[in-house]
Amino acid sequence: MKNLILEMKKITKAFPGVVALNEVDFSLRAGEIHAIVGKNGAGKSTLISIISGLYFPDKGDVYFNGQKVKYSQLHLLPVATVYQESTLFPNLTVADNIFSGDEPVKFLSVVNQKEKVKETKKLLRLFKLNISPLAPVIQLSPAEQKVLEILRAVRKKCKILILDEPTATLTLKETSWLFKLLESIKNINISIIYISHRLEEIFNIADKVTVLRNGEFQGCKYINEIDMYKLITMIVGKEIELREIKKKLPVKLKLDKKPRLEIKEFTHYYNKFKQITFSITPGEILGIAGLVGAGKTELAKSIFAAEKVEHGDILLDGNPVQIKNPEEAIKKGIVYITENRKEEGLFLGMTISENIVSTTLSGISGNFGLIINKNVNKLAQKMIDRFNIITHGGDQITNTLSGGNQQKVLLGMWLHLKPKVLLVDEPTIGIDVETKTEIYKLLRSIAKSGTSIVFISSEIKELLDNTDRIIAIHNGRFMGNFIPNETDEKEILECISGIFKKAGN
Amino acid sequence: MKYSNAKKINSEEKNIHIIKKNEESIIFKFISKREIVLGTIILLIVMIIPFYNKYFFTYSNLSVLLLGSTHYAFMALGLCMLLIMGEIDLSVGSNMALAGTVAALCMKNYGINIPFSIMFGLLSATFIGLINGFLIVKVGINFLIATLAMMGIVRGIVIVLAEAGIAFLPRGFNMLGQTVIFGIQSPVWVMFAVYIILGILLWKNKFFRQMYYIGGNLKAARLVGIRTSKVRIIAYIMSGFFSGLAGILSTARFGSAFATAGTGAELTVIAATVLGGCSLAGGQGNMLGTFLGIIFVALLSNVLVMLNVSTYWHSPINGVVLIGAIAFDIFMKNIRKERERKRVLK
Repeated sequence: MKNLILEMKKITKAFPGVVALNEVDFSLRAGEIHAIVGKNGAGKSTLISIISGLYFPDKGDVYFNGQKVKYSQLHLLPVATVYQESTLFPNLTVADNIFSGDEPVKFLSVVNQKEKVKETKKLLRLFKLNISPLAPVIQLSPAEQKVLEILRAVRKKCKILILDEPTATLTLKETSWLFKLLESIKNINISIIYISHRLEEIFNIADKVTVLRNGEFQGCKYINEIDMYKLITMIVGKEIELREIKKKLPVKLKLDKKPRLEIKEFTHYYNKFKQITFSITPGEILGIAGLVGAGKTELAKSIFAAEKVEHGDILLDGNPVQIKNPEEAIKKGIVYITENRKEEGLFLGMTISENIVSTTLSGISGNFGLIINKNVNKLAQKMIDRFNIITHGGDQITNTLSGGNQQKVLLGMWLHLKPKVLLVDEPTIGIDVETKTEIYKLLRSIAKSGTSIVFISSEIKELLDNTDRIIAIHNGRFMGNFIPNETDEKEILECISGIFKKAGN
Repeated sequence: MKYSNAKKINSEEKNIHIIKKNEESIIFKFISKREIVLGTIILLIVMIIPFYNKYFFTYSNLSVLLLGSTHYAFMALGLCMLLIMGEIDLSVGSNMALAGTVAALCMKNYGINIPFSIMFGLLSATFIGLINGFLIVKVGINFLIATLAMMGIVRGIVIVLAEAGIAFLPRGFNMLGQTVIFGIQSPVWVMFAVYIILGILLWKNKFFRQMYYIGGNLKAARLVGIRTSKVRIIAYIMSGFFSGLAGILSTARFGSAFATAGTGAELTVIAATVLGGCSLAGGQGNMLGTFLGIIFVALLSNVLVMLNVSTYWHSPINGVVLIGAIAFDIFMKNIRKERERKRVLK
């Protein structure tokens, strides 16, 4: 058995409003791939931030190679982190990126370009990669970019490599390619801490798995002494909810009703999608499946008039409508809930109440357009109660809420408008299993009240379980129409990967 | 049923209130509110300085202090709204000179009557605001660059139009800035009126509230159906209009238009508004704070004169006060974060 490279004992860390880690133990052996799993807000990111020296823990001991490390020395450990978001410099070349921060120099600190390119070539050959060292990063595929970030970390002679959701934007093929690379990194005695929401991956790649829940340590198991069911039970804590997700909701087709919304020959201004046609009836949930970058978000935003359309018609309740901007879309009862709650969804520096009323400033104001406080508080309290937002009041700043609660605020912002058509874009992205189930139930109950829901997701499973009909999109083109209980994950996956196109409509 | 619900919410609200009181002492809450701190400091200065200089607390000194800061106050209106949205207008000082000069030219050289001359003056400054807004929002030029260039362009035009200045304006026009009502000059009354109206609008009105949302998150504001382009352009137009108003009233007060009027005013006004609680990052600030900021800056230079401090020292002291105020704010925020963290740890 290989020796322990990193050992953490009873680590505690608190932030304003929450204890992120409570007496968590973690240990890592040389050359092992160790997965950390848990729901959102379980404390995974806090733990890796402590390992990489971003935060000091409040309590607990850290040992590296058997020696105790002071908190102030944590950032000096040979740890490299590859974050979910890219930290590459897109306009610079592959070699520039690999050597960013410590380029080889000649006399008078002139950068030694030859040496840089030579070293990069060597590194690329070592891992059997066919990338030119002088290619600008912007021309690489997402998978190649991710690999480049990993290589950059490996070159810095790290002993511990932290990967935060490395496969989030990759296709299946690219993922297996990445895993081969990880195996060869493991063989040169580098330990990998692997964080992912995709549990199947963990059984493919990890040697060991540590489970966290609400900042508490739940256990650390070898991957061969545990199965998927046990792992999910450890993550969720309760067995009941798990069954609820697995059970399919009864599906009824509502073909007798007139369509609420019809989209005809929709083509995006920058060709992100082409000639998309579909319709949706009241009470129906229509799933739109596609990989990241397939044009799903652009499609929804174009219906909401937040992006431009080259040509195409929208029919609402059978009448053609012209929608010029989001304000008009909202007035016509079409509402879009973004996938990117932090960047374009919420006003993070403002209070929960201010967020909730932002969509209906006219609806809460009286004479001279003056906003009436009583209306604001009433509406905010109603939404806080309805969506079960955990807070000490409507005047809490949204920034201080957890991810799941922020998502609920985002839903609250839009759903009090009682929309006719609801376009939701990845409503469960980066959210724990419990909140996910809550959101699925919520969407179904909204649909029952007569709203048409367009449910956009790159997770096929959640579409199969929660929609009445699915359309698949690949590279901006329509690929097929599916009924959830007549199809399976494989068929849709092939469709959205562009392998085959379903005949008909 | 309805009644009991309302009651429940009421009692919950009370609970929240009690929790808050335990969390933070009243004093702590007070010193983290900019308006209260600024107001208290102003009160202290007004109470202490008379012991050092008996001329401070005289009618003539205080009225000059107020009157002298009116044109800054008008320019601060527009800047406050722009800063709330995370933007800046550097052309306010030049705009002020433009409005005064255009009005004076209309009266002296073209013989246009007083109301129309004033209208043309205000229109010229408002039009510059419109161009600023168009360049920034529609063309997409960075606001610092666009208004910096506009500051130079307008100043140049003013010098071409007015050369050194235009004096001996009609008495009727001068009355506008020199009339004394209940012992206070008319520009001060106008200032109070405008501040109260805009203060209420910015605090409560649905249109003006949109500015806070735009400053908080521009992309999200667009998606919740706020017409961001419209609101931003209107804010630039208002900034132009109020600088114009500052120009008309101060020209009337002096009885002549100067080409150099309002030179460097933009920086003084930005300093005062930031001191009053606006942030360059946007999303923060209000009219009360802005007003107190303007008064504080005016008071500071007045007091320095009263205490016989050399005028060379005025701008270094102003700078130190500004940095001190912002640093204090950041310091308070960190203390608050740390307290919250420790509370959770228990």
